[in-house]
Parts: sequence; structure tokens; C-alpha cells
Amino acid sequence: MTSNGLILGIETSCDDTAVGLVDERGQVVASAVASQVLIHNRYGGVYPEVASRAHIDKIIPTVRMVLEDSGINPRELEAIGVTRGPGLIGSLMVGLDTASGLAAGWGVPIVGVNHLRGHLRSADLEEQRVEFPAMILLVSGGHTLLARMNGPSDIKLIGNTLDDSVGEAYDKVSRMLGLGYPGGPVVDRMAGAGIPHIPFPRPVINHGLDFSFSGLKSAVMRYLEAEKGWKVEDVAASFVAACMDVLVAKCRRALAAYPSSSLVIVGGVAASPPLRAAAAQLCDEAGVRLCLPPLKWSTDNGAMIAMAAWDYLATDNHTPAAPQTSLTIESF
Amino acid sequence: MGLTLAIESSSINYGVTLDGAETVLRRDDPSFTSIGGLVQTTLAAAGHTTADIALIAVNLGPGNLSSVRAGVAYANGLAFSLGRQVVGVHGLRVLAETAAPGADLPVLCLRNAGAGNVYAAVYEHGRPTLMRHDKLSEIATAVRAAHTSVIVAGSFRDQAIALLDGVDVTDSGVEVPSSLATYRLTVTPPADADWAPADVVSPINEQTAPFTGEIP
Repeated sequence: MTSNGLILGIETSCDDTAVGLVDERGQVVASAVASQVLIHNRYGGVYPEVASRAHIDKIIPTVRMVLEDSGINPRELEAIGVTRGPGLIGSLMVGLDTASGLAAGWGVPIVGVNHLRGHLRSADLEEQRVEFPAMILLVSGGHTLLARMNGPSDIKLIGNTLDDSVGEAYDKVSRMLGLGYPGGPVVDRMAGAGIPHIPFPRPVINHGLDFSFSGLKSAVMRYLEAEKGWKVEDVAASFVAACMDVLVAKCRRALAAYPSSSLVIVGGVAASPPLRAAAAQLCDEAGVRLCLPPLKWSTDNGAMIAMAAWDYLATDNHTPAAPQTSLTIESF
Repeated sequence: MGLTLAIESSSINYGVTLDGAETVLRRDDPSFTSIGGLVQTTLAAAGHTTADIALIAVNLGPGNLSSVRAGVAYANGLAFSLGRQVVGVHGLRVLAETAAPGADLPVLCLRNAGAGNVYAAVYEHGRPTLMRHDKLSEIATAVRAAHTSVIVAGSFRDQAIALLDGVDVTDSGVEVPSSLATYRLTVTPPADADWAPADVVSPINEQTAPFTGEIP
């Protein structure tokens, strides 16, 4: 097929080497992810130096796989979109410098993309799901925030975590319970078999739109140290219940303050079954459309970066392809 | 016949050699943007485009961890997009070639490895006879036991000279490797060169061979 009207997206902000090929309507022509989960599992979390090295080894084979799957001529690409931040500096640099080399050889433009905007746009991959104005809940290992979205490029941050992200709290509780990394799927699975009887705190649940998960994580640690005979399943269920109560309460408050047509939940924690169930109930009550990307687009992927890169071209936004470890969701 | 492009990014002095002519720019220079920007500027100044490149060579390190990776990532990406191959040369071998090409004396090459350690190699007629990641004092002990005279290049030369008591030491005055040395080692490799064109190359540091032989 022709490459006209396609953007190649490259994502290396953390521990997944991901590449995707997406057209202007969000149709995914090809996508591949080289996961580093098995590498980082032994450290109980992402080891930045090892992540960067693994990206170097995986990125060209992953690009090659996507090109071979699609059969396109890369010299006809509309652009290469590559994550410029936020993320781990060593990982970002590998993606950006590789993309720079690819763009130079193919003679195509390169666009530095905000990873967070990629997550927001993941909800419209393969199908137009988002109705504007939209309320966005971005929940991942690195981020927990609420944003108001009036259009693909019109985004306002309205709530953010004051300390840890919810995904980070999941990973740390998983480690405390000896469940390994990544924590999300296994903690949710354990929670499904437990009784949420432990009264863990719901930090800052009663006011504002900001989040805090550090105190909850510490409360779990203190409980495990002080109590004897606890059941892993019950601790997981009680922790997950606390997280869900906070996330849903903040979404409910945000929807009341900013009437929205849809609630969009993106990021790795969007794959959480308890969150999906709680969000569905909230949206039924609020009369708001719930937009959840398919699970494969919830975690880091290259297609979402390509999708977001289209917004940059549409607004003639030529953001430099330089690494930024820290970026707000409002930044391009 | 196409051009050979050599890339150096293992220190603050980024360098590009194209067809034997070297361009060096410090990473903290206001005009520096990226290794890709330096390559494009160098190509344009010489009246070439990336399509004229037949082979890409790059210093694999050890050296500054992040910047080595930037150079290697760019080299791999450029080579793949052009359908060319890339040659990765050990950074200490490049340093030896920079400091004392064709030297009869052994060349002790040192790069800062952080945490009080150095990457060290001794090259004799281009072949490594010592390769270690260790304290400088330990390296000096090994060199004193094996050599009566050496040329020293790279980081910590003053400290090394002080520790090499009883050895006839010549200070090369060379602190960091050059892209011109990588270019020479690629265009006219010695008969026993352990580098060769490949589709992709990986950086070298204390977690990789030959320093530990494995990734942790």
C-alpha cells in the first residue's frame, strides 16, 4: 500500500519499545510492541539504565517488523512522530535519536510528541469514540490526572497527583505483597478473590480534583508490618477499593464542575477491570458516554503517538524532537 | 563510490568525519542541537546528502553513557533507513588511535566510569592486552607489572602518571576520542580488527562484554 497519509509513531518513554503506523482517521495499519516486562520483573520495577539499553537493541527490529507487516514505502510517510517526553531521559533519547536517523535517511519530517497527548488520543484509535467536550482521566504508572478536552488540541489540566501515580501505588503494593512487577494485573486479580474489609485511607477524597496515593501506599505498608495473619487477597481488595473510591469520586466531582459529553479513561490502569466497572456505573448515573480504548491501546504503544502527531501537523505545530523528562498535558 | 560517515559522541566533543574531513562541536555550544543536526550540517557544508553515504561508523563507548547511546541510536537509524550497514568500534580502541596511531609503545587508554572507577585498556600494536573496569590504582598495579614504558591517553592522566612509579610514561595530551580515528579504523581497518559492518550495533559499558560479559 502507499505510505501517503500515514505517520510512523515511535514510543520509548519508559519500558516498552513500540512502533505504530496510523492514518489521519486513526486507522492502525500496523503496530508492534517489544515489552521489557520480563527484564524489569527481576528488579521489581523499571531499571532506567537497562530500559535504555533494551530500547537500543529492540527499536530497529520493531520498526522493521511494522514496515514489513504494512508493506509500505517509508520514504512516502507523511512524518515520523516520536515521544519527546515526559519519560526516562535515556529511553527518550534512544527513541528520538533513532527517529532522527530514520527521518534523515528517508527524507521525511520528524515531530516530537508529548506522550500524555498520545494517551489522550488513544481513545480514538480505530474508531471515533470521544465526544467533545470530554473529561479525561489519565491513569498510568507515571501519571494520574484529570483534564478537560474541548477538541483534539484543546486540553486543560484540572487535576493532578500531588505525589505518586495510582499505577506506581499498584506496583509498590504488589512488591510489598510479593506479587512482582508489573503490579496492576496481578493486584486486580488478587483483589477479585478478596474481601475489602481493611479500612485503608482515601486520601483527599472529599475536596478538589487533585489526587494523592503516597499515604495510601504507606498505610498498606504499616498494616502489613503491624498485623499478622493477613490474607494477600483481602489486602489487595481493600487497596483496590480505596483507589477506585478516590478515582470515581474525583471523576464524579469533575463531571459536575465541567459538564461533559464523554468520560475518557486512558493509560495503563484503564485496563483495570474494577476501574472499568466503576466507571461504567458512574457514567450510567451521570448520563455521560464512557470511552475506553481497547486494552491493547491502553498501555504504551506507537499507534497513539502517531495519532497524536496528526494533531501537531493539523495545527502546524513543529515541536522540536528534543527530550523533555517533564511535560504537562497542556504542552505540545 | 559512496562516502563513509564516522560519528563520535562519547564525550562533550561531538564529532563527525565525512570523507576524511572532521567537524567537531561541543555539546554545550549554543549552535549544537543534536548529533543528527551536526551530521546534516556537515553533509550540507560538503555539498552532500544522506543518499551519498555508503557506510556509517560509530564509537560504541565506553564513555558518557547517554551521549554514546545518542550516537549509536542515530547511526543505527540512519543505516537502516538508507539500507546501509554500520560499523561499531570499541571506544578505547578509538582513543588509542586518536592519541597514538601506529605507536610502537603500549598505549594505556582510560575513560571515567564513575563511582571511582575507570574503563581501561592497554593496546600494543592495536591489540588489547589489558581490558578492565576497575579502580585506577588497580589498573596502575597491573600496568607496572607488565610494562616498562607506556603512552597514556584519556581521563585521569595526571593521576595515572603519578601511580605509574617506575614506568617510563609519555603523556599523549589526548583527553577524548575523535571521529577521525573511528573513520580511519573503519576505512583502513587493521588485519586483526574485531569490528565489521553490521545491520545494528550496541553500545559498550561496564555491563557488557568485554567488561563483565553479560547484561545484568
